[in-house]
Amino acid sequence: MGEILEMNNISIAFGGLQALSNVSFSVMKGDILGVIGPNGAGKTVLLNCINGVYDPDEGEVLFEGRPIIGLPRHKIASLGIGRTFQHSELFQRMTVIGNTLLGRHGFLKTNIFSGGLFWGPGRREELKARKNAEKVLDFLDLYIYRKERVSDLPYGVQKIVGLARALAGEPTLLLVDELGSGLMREEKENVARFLLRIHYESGTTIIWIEHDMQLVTDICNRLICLDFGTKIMEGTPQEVISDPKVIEAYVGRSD
Amino acid sequence: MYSIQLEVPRKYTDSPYLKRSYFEDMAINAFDTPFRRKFLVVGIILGVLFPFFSPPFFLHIANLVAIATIGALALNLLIGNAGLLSLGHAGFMAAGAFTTAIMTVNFHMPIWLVLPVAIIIGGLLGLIAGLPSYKLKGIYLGLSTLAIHNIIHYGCSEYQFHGGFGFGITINEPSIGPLVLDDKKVWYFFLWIIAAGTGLFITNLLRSKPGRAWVAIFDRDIAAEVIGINIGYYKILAFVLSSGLISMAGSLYAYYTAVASADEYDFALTISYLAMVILGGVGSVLGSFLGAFLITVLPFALIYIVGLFEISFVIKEYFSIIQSAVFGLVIIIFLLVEPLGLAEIWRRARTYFDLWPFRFKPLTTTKR
Amino acid sequence: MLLASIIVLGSLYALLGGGFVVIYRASRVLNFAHAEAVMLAGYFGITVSGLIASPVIGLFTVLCCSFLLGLIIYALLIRPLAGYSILSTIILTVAVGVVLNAVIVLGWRGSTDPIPFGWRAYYLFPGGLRLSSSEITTIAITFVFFIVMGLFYRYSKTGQQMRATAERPLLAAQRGIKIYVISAVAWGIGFAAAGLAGVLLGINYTVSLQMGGVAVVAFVVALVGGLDSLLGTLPAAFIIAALKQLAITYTNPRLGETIPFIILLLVLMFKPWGLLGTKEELERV
Repeated sequence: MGEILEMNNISIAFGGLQALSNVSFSVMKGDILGVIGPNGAGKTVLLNCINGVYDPDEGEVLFEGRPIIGLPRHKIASLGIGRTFQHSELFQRMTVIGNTLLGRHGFLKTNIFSGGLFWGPGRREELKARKNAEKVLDFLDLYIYRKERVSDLPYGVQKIVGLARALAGEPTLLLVDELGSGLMREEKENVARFLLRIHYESGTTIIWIEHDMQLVTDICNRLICLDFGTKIMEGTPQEVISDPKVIEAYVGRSD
Repeated sequence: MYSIQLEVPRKYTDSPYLKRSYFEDMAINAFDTPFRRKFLVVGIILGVLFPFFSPPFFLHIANLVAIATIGALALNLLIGNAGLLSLGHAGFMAAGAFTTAIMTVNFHMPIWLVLPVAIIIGGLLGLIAGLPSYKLKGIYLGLSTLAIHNIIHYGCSEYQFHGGFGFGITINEPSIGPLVLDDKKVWYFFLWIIAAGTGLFITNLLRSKPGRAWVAIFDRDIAAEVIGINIGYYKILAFVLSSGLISMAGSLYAYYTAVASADEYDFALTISYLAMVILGGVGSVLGSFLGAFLITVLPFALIYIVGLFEISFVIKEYFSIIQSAVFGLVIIIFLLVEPLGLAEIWRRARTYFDLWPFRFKPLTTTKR
Repeated sequence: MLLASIIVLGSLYALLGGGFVVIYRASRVLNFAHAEAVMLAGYFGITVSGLIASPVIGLFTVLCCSFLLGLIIYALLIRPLAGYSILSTIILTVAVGVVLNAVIVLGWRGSTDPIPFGWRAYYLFPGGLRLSSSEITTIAITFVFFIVMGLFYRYSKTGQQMRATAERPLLAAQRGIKIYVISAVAWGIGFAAAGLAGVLLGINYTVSLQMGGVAVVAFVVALVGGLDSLLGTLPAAFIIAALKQLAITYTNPRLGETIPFIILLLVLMFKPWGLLGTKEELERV
């Protein structure tokens, strides 16, 4: 029916803290869904539940109609769900190209024998992967940083490298966690541009956690707002940001 | 107004540092430029000539270094690249040695059959040792490998003891077809070809999918999993491969020294290999070689120095203990001062000369 | 007779494991030098007992020196590696152990002596159990140690700070707890416990270079009991002691030496957090 992701009654608690309670929503194929909400509302936890980093206590997650809770994490990734992390979580000891190549991990069939020999099939696979990774780097204007170690790069660039790594896996659903935070205005515009292009060229569905309201209302076609682990509003960007509950969550009531 | 016209001579546009295809870019560091290739050829020629001109004692040391390099490479793969602490090194070497002993003495198998079997058995034991790594990390893993080492050691000592072998099982010289491996010169080529092959194998692994997966698991395993890497599989794979290779090294050692004795494969052996990995540089193939070279040569150098100076009698008496202590001190000093080992020192020296007179490489600026 | 040896061995194992757990709980470091610390204390005990007549003062001296050794090792070697991966620190402790081993061998030339105890008597207990005075002292001291440590962790300010540092060092530091001082104290206590165990081992058996082998069982005991549970070492210690003695009596002695490691492997495969440890402990590593 066009729904690529359905989350039904997701609840999860950590110790005494109820991080999510009864969150339900669905995402259509081709949506760009924005997830907003004040800090600590549980937005990252929500993404983690989709990815398999956490297993929700209750509820179900359906990806393309199939339940995915309890699947091993690497299997979830191979289904076509990509992820960027709030603190980029790049592999610090590797270069940009190395990180991106890792995104292609699932597409490679090299085992230790063909990898160790590196002649014939091993080399061919590696070259193919390299070409694909370079395409991603080119798309994101990262090719100048290709051989740099990620730990040497500026923060904004590191975030884009995280995006590159996620894109290299050719995801059908891309989960983006606060890609715009900590970036300068031009970098944010770049990010917006990239996400739009990704969406346009590959039809990737995007779920985007973000704090910058302008970015989110301009780019996303649907929004949901979380507060204290519950979904308080869902709808088009205009509907959501003008909803009094959402305004209250962010700004507080003026009693 | 001046207009400057530069005619860049053709040879500068053909700089060897300019890589023109992904294929060239992926080349191994040792052979990627013509200068390095020439250097390598010279090195190989020297290496080939070495056994014909050196005194037999140094040849023996060189052979020991070759075996140590294989063991260090395998251990470095596990500890340095995959980040899995293993204290069971000596156990796997013992497994290889005793497999060799059992197969040659009881079944008279030729070496080209024994070596693969040793690798397989080492791999199986590595599988058992690595199973805990599915769920455990760091400390717990170290302990489980220590337990494996003890159990293997026990098994080997029991076999040796009950088989009536006294101090060790003697093994005859192996032969491959018409070639009998009894001369140190022949061993030299045999061992160094295997060592070089292992080094190449591991370097190739590190620049392809499994190697990257291991580094990713070491760095951030949750992120690695979310990307799609099956961390359990790769951790166990690292153990299996590493212990298989270590077992092969043990087997070669048993063949070379013509004896398999359980006493040789004690915890002190693990310590010396750990010292090799740390001294040389964790995660670096060059480092494994450097570490293996220095740590193997160190005791001989110590003996020589002690012989020169007639130092206290005590030192001569407790030599092996002091040797272990020196290794321990080496590990401590390097961990505190230069945790990335000699390979890092080499890299820094190289970068210094590369960049001179500058000190830092400027980060490429964005195109704005 | 067998029961007596099991009880005594179990107490010693518990003590050994306990010291290990104290260090682990405070700094997450597996102190692979623990076995050598025990040996060192044992040999030092011999020297001290030769110099000082009163056993109580002698024991106290050994404990103080062990405590200091723990502080020094922490300050010089562990603290500088505070931010680095735990792998380096563990390898470091392995190296420290090796160096201590050499110090012991060079210092005492591998002599084998018991530590004289002075109070030799045998006591008969119901059930035909016969314990010597040294064995009773060992058991008593072990119990005292565990009770004291339990109270310390629960009620004393330093003990609570130690638990806080173990759980969340960053938060503890922000709360004003001097985490490095606390960790140093923990290491001191751990080494002191090792010293205690060393002296007791020397009294009950002899001080020799093989003591290290006995002390390696400390790791197993601590793990089986749960690396973050001091209380867990007690049942673990007695179970392992019992199995080992049974193996030695009914099969061969070398198997007895290996039994703890087989148990270790089994525990690690099926219940890695030990008897009384917590699952979160695994994630934290």
